[in-house]
Amino acid sequence: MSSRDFWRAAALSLVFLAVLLGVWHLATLPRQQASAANDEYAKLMGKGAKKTEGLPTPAQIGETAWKHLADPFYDRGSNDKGIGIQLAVLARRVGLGLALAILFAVPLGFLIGMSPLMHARSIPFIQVLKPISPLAWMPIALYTIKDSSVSGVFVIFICSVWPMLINTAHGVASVRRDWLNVARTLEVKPLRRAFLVILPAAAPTILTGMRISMGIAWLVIVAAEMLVGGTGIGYSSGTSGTISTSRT
Amino acid sequence: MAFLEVQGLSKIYPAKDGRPLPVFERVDFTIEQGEFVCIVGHSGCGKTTILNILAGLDTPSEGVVIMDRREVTGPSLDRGVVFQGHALMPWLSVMKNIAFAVRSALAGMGPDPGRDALPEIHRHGRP
Repeated sequence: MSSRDFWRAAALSLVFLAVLLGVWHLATLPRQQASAANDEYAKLMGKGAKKTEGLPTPAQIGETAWKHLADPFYDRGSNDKGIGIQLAVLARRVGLGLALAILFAVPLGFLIGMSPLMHARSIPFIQVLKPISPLAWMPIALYTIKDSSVSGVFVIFICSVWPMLINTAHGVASVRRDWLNVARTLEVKPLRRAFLVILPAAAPTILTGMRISMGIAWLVIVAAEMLVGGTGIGYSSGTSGTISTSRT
Repeated sequence: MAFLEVQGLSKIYPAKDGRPLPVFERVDFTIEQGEFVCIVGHSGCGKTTILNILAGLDTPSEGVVIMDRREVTGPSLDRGVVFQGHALMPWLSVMKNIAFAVRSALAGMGPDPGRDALPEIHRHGRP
């Protein structure tokens, strides 16, 4: 891409952003027809004129975002932490869950891919367990583990394990026959064959599985945190939503 | 007794309706040491299958292959194979492909079995 194209694309993006913000701003302009009775009622309820209703305006969002971003690491009790701390908790949970999933899924996927018998026997189990919503595991996890933070990690683990497992098994099972035959005629030992022939050949497929898992994990963790509580972006935005709803 | 002896070799696949579908049946031939042999035939007549059986990569439905008075039961370093498609591993350089084969062939002969052989290959491989 030439530099002129780059600036054009950048300008176009800015135009899109401006249009989006403009539409948002117009759509959330405060309505003028508030009647006198309503104003009186508002005063009676001890609320000022600054009553929020429905979707906040871009200005309000910007103001709040600035407030949070300006001081990301404050810590005032378990329910009031800075956005930096919340993000760190979130990243730690996702990282831990993904690491566990990799440790579990890659060796198991290897075994499944290597042996046609294991493949035929285990794929039905995987196909049954895979479509279970990650959030449906949440109550089971909370009930058995009895620790909200570990449950969050468990949910990340369980939702990211399936794509990795299936991709690893598929990648290992579909290594080119020629390479395996080369290894066989050279009398390569099984361990050496696994690490020097099969692993590099299946690596692109395994990495694809990891990328899919990572995408799912980021989607799921926010929803999971809304349920488990504690700290984290999901929990924080969930409680903020609840508090704002009960205030109006 | 000939160096390589092929006796009553057959390869039979089951067809879709369950009846046996032979590719070739009761093939007999012998090859002496140092002999140069070509197998010629139309596509699908079993040339590659015979070669794979000789290499030990495929098993015959019937018959045996005897080389140097021992039956061929699996792939071994005694019999080299050049595959039809190039079977180099694309994630390794040419040199490393060779090194992989040399190290595999000489495995179990000291800590780094390729140490003596690989510089020799380097010397010959460079222009």
